[in-house]
Order: sequence, then C-alpha cells, then structure tokens
Amino acid sequence: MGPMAFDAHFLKTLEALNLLARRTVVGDDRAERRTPRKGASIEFADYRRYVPGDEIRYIDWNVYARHGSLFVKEFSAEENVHAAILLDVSRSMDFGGKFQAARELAAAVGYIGLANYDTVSLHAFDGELRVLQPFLRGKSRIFDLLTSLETILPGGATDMRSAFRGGLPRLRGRSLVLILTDFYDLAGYPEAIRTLLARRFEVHVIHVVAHEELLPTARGRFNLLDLETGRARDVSLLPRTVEAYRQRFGRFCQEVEQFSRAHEVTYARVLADDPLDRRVIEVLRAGGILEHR
Amino acid sequence: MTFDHPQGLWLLALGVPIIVFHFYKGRVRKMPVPTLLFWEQIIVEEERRTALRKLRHWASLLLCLCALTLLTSAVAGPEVKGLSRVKRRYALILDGSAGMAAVEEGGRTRGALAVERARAFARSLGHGDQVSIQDASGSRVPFTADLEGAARRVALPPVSPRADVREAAAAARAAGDDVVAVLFTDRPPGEAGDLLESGKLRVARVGTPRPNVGWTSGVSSRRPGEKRITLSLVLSSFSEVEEGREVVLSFNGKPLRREAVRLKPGERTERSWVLDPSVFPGEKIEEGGRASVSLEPEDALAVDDVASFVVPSLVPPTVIVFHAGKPDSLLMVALTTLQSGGVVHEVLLAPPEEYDRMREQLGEGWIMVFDRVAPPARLGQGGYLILGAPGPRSVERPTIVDWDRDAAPNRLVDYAGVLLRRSRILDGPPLILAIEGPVAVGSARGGQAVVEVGFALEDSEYLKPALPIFLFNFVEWAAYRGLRSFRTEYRVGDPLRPERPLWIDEGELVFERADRADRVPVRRGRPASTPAAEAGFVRARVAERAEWIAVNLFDADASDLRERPESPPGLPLPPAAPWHARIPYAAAAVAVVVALLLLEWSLFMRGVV
Repeated sequence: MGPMAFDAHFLKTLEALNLLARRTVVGDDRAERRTPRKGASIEFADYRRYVPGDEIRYIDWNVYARHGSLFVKEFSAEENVHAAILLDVSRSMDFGGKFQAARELAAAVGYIGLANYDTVSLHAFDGELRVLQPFLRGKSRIFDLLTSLETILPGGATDMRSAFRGGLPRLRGRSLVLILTDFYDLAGYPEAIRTLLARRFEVHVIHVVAHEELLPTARGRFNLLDLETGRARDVSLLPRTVEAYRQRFGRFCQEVEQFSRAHEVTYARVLADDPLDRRVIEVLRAGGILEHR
Repeated sequence: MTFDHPQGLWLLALGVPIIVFHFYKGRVRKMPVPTLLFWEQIIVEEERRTALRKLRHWASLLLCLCALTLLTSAVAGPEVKGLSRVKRRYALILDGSAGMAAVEEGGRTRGALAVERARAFARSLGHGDQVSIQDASGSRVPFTADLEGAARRVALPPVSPRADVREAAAAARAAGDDVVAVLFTDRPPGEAGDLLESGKLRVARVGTPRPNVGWTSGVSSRRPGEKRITLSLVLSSFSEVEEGREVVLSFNGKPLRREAVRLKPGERTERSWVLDPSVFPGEKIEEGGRASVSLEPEDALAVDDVASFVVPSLVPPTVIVFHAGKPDSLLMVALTTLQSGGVVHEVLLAPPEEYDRMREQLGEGWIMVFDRVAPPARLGQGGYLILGAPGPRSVERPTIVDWDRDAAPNRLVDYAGVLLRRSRILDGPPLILAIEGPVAVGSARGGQAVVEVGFALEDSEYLKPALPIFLFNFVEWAAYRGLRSFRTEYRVGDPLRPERPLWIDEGELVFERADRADRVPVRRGRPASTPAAEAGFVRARVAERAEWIAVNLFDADASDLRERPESPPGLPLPPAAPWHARIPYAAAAVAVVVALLLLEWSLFMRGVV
C-alpha cells in the first residue's frame, strides 16, 4: 500500500468541507456544530417566557420595556459530532485498488472531521468490528489516524451483520457512521445497516467499486479465484459472458443504492481508479455526507 | 505422390508454433475476483456449453493444421497419380500467311478470327496449364501459366509466307515432349500427318473456302536505252464460276487506263502494259515513280488484287570525266558509244579541281569518272568510277586470279588472262582479285555507288575489248540500282532487309505505309530490325533520302482460298477445363488459410478460445 499523502492545496479543500449531519445530532463537547440543545454560543435561537429559575442575565429587558412581560433569550449551542468511520478490511477490498481508495477516503473524511473539532473514531470490520482509533479530536490527531490506516491490511471475509451487531455497543452514544465498503455481503448488509439505524445512528455509505470489477476487460479462459472464500471456478470470458456479468453487477449496485435511499442512508459510489479529489467530489455530489462550510 | 516444389514441405514445420500457440491461447489463466457470486450466477449457462467449447477447441486446432496442410500443398504442388489433373503445355501457333487476311462473312479477317479463337482456347485451359504463343516470323511468347495475360498477348501476327507447319510445330515442341502444338489456320496442313495422328499437333481451323481472283506473278522490264517500261503480269482465277473484273493501271496513284477482264473458272491469263512517256504525256513517267495494276472491285483477299512496281527513272545519266591533261581515248570512245546507244545522256569533261565547285549541282542521277586522278576525300551521292588513281601499295604485273561474277559491273565480263602492267592493291570488297590482292573493288550504300580500279586503262591490254561492257554495266547499275539500299520489290512476308548499308551510319529508318509508320534505329548503317513486308508501297526514309519499295503477294498457293484435299483430321482441340480446374489452387488455398487465421485471431481477440 502506498503512503497517503495529501498536498497543501488538497488539505485546504478538505478544511473547507464539513461532515454533514442531516439530523442535528447531539455531541458531548462544544464544537462548531449547532445542536437542539440551547447553549451559550453567541447565535440567537429563540425567545421563551421567563420561568422561575431561569438565569436573570438572559432576560431581554428591551422586550420587557415594550411589552411588560419577561422573556428570556435562548442561544443555540455549538457542539461536536462523533463521526465513526467503518472501513471494510475484508479480502474482497484487496482488488483493483479498492482498499487503497477506501483508506484514502477514510483519511480525507477523518481529516475533515478533525479539522471541524468533531470527534472521529476509526473502526475496521470484516467478520467483526475492531476499533483502531477511538475518539480522536483536533487536527493534530490526524497522524494517529493515518498511522492506523497505513498499518492495517485487508484480510478475512465480510460479515457486516455479525460485525455491526457485536461491535457496535462499543461505540459511544449516537454517532454519525460512515461505512466504506464494497458490500460483498449481499445477504448481511441490509440487516447490518438496519441495526445501525435502529440505534439512531445517522448512516452514510460509500460504495467503493473497482473499474475492473465494473467492466472486466479480460477475455479468454480463466480460473476465477474468490478472494474471500478461496473458491475457484473455470469460466470463458466471452463478450456475452462479460456483458451478463456487467448487467448483474449493475443490478447489484442499484439494489444497494435503492436500499440506502429507502432507509434514508446517504449513498455514494466511487470508482477506486479515480483520483482522490475526484472521489471526494463524487462523495460531495452524492449529498448528505459532506458539505461546504 | 510427387511434388512440384518439394522444398515447400518445410512449411509443415510451422505446425509446431501453431500447436504451441493453440495450447497457449487455450490455457486457463488464474484471475482473482472480489467475489464469485455474480460469476456463478451467469456461468451456469456457460458450463452447459463446455462440451461444445471443448469440441470447438480441438476443431480449431484441426482447422489450423488443415490450413497449414492446405498452404503447404499449395506451395509444394503435389501431384497424385489418378487424382491430380495433368498440367499441359500448349504452343499456340498463329498462321500469318497472306490467306489469313481474307475477309470472312461479317467483315472480319481470318487472322482476327484466329486471334479470337486462340484467346478463347487459352482462357478455356485449366489452372497450371501453360501456353506459349508463336508465329511464323519467329516471334514467340515464352511458356507462361498466366493464361489471361497470354490470352491478352495473342495478336495478329505479321504477314509472312505460309509457314512449314512441321517446322513450326517442331520449334514449338522444342520446349519438351509434353508440349502440344495448336495451329490456328485457315488451311489444314498437309505435311504433318504423323503429328496430327499422334495428337502432338492440333488444328483449329478458321474461315471457309472462298473464290478469289488475283495477280499471281508480275515483272517490270526495260531494255537498255529504251524509254519505256513494260509491266507483265499473270492474272489467275481461283473460282468455280466465271469472274469479271476491271483492271486499272495507275502511276503515282493516278489511274491511267481501265479495261475489263473476264476469267473462266480456274483460268490463268497473262497481261502486259507499257508505261511509255510518249503514250502518257504529262504523267512524268520518265522521272520514275510508282506503278500499280489493280483489280476492281476488291474480293475477299485484297492483297493479291493489286500488283505494285517501282519504276526507275528513264532518263539516261550524265557522265562527267575528271582528268588531268588528256582523258583516256579508250574511255572516251566507250562512253561515246554508250551515249550513241542512249545509255548515257551526255559526256562532260572537267579538270579535277572543278569537282568541288560542281559538287552542289551533282545528284544521284550523275556518274563521275576519275581518270587517273585522285577523287576528293569525301564522296557525295551518285555513282563514282575511279580509274588508276595514284597511290601507295603499287605492284608490278599483278596476276588476276578471280573476280566477283555476281557483281553487277562484272556481268558478262571475263577477266581471265588479262595482263596488267602495274596496279595498286586496294582495300574493300573485291571486284577483281589478283594474287597480290584486290585490284578493283566496289561498294554501294544508299545514294552512293563506287567502283575503284587500281590500274589505268592504258596499263591493261586485254581489258580494252571488255571496257564498253564493263562501262555499260556500271552505268546501268550505278545510275539507279547501285544507289539503292533496298531492292525495288519484295514479296509479302519477306523481311524488309536492305541489301546494302543505309545512307547514314547512325540514326533512324522509317518505313512509311499508307496507314502507319514503323521506326527502326540504325546502327553502323544497318537497321536494328526488319519488319515483314506487307502488300503495297512502302517508303523507306533515312535522313533526307527515301526509297520506294513495292511489295506483292504473287503467290498462287496463297491466293487459292478454295477447299484443298483434306489432310488427316487429327485429334480435336482439348475440351475446356471444368470450372474448378480453372481456380488457381495456390491462391484459393492461401485465401482460405488467411480467412481461417483471421477468424481464429478474431475469435481469440474476442475471448473465444
């Protein structure tokens, strides 16, 4: 795996982005994100009638002078978001540069979160979920994130259902969850995502696809080896065979996307062969995951 | 089994890389995929085709090896006894005799029909057969398997005397015993019965028997001193019915006289006409020209309907004697005698230094005699007699041992026993030969005739009685015929070969006919080639000088277009090869191989292996 290097220009671009929470989520620490909780920021939120016990300093005396009733001003609190990045490290990701592409995206998203004083945690999953970096905060922790990403290697078979069921309790509270995967757990991914949603996580998925996976160019007789299961099959890659595969794979992508849309899960599909900035743009274009600050 | 090109069998070695490539392309390569799930859903149908694929895999190898075998056989050219079609070689002989110019119904000549038939025959042969084309003139297209190209090269042969069929067939079959000669002619050969019976000679006959009337011989004559020309001709009928024609006498293309003539079946009649300037005043017959006697209207064979003649000038030449001091009395007596006999127009005397001044006025019709004086270094056009000119290599009492009896100046002159006191020994074609060498030489080329005698008349006692005859001969010869390079008359088909060197050494000779001109380069005074003579007048032009030539058929055998006694029928022409025998096997094999390889490559590129 090549090192992940972001140039200064690209970093500036990342810093101009923000992790987008469709639902306003509640964080633990103050940050640069509004929350439903009224807080002590300088941004005015609303008025409400004074009730005993309210702090006198929030009474708006100008309103009292005009109307003769006591109203207290409420301010929106700016709190941080906990962004949990779930990186698929199954063997199927070790194809066509998918894993490298996913790692780079994880790093980019993580940097965006850290730059916005959000709490970022990095998790790897295949058959189980492993915490690589819990609760990073601040831009200076990006190196911890990168180190973890660079040291991790793909291995194991995808089982999203058991991974998310068993590992999720270890996540703290209600978080924004970003899953980077190729979804090669066709039977398990719906239930896995539903599990996350049930726990009121805001789920975003980035479907990483390799070009060779989307449009195979090889022709001839091949012994196809399943990277995850190790099973092998002989097949003649004829044009019609490849076309049938292409249609089947397209249908699979559509199914994943439709499932995501149906469950209000943000879905973005990126091509592993595209350059990183292009991939980030694709994620932006998908909407719901990143936004300009 | 034998092979035309056994070295082509090396191509079979290509089988090794073909087999290697076949198994290379058919090998199963490993390819990791992220999941087999989708592939397994679609390769179920693929697996059902495995048997077919295996069959296709081996069929592909079989096809490639078949293609290689096909290609090898195309190159090696196998010959399998009983299976392969025997390749033949045919020599196409086109009869170029005058009779082939006869016009058949439909307006086409027998020659044109023969060409068409020969082309059709060449195109009907099978692939691998070879043909060569030849005609009686000796022109030959070598054996070639390019039948279409050979068919295109079949052309009307030049008119030539009727060839000896046996000789032509032998020449054609010189390439090998397998060669079959095919003669395209209007007349079955009568002298090649054995060849016909053995099938080595086949005859393709063109044309049908036809009646004909034509001139079968003719001659123009003039007695010395006479100022008229007599044309004597023989007219023959080769018809079974009485024929009527009109005979037209023309001079330089202008009709002078017409008369009707009727010929009974097979009749042969002699006719003569006199071209007398006094009878046809104003026609300038005395200046010479072209006379023709033609039959009207033309019949099927036009070439024997016209008899052509080149008439020499009837004006006797002027003789100038260049001498120092007093001319030889015997010479003057002889010349005066010739003048009185009308052989010489005038005898003039002049000192040798006058030659250069007079040169501009002298032409071909003049004869110059240098009596004991040296001639100028460069002689121009005209006749020259040089008698006893001073010079080196002089010998005393040379003994004459021989002379050229066929040379025109020596006609009827006997030099036996002639004693010479002294003479120079000369260089050149000898007219009179002494032990010591030539004492008289003669040479002629276009426009110039020279006789040089190495001794003076006064030094020869015994030549004196023969001198008038010698001078008569010389004047008659040098005034006209000695100045020509070509004869005045040729027979149809004769090569137009000059008898003497042309007027120039290097340049171009042009044979001008009514409808075309043939240009022939000249090297060392000789034409590089000699076209065959065709009936009519031909103007041979070299630089500023021209000579008319008359060409006549005068061949009763060629003019007779009637049916002749049948010769042995011989074997018929070989039948046309079937369509599949005409396909070039090698080309077809290579095309199939290329198509197969392209198909294989295409399938390989598309993943079908």
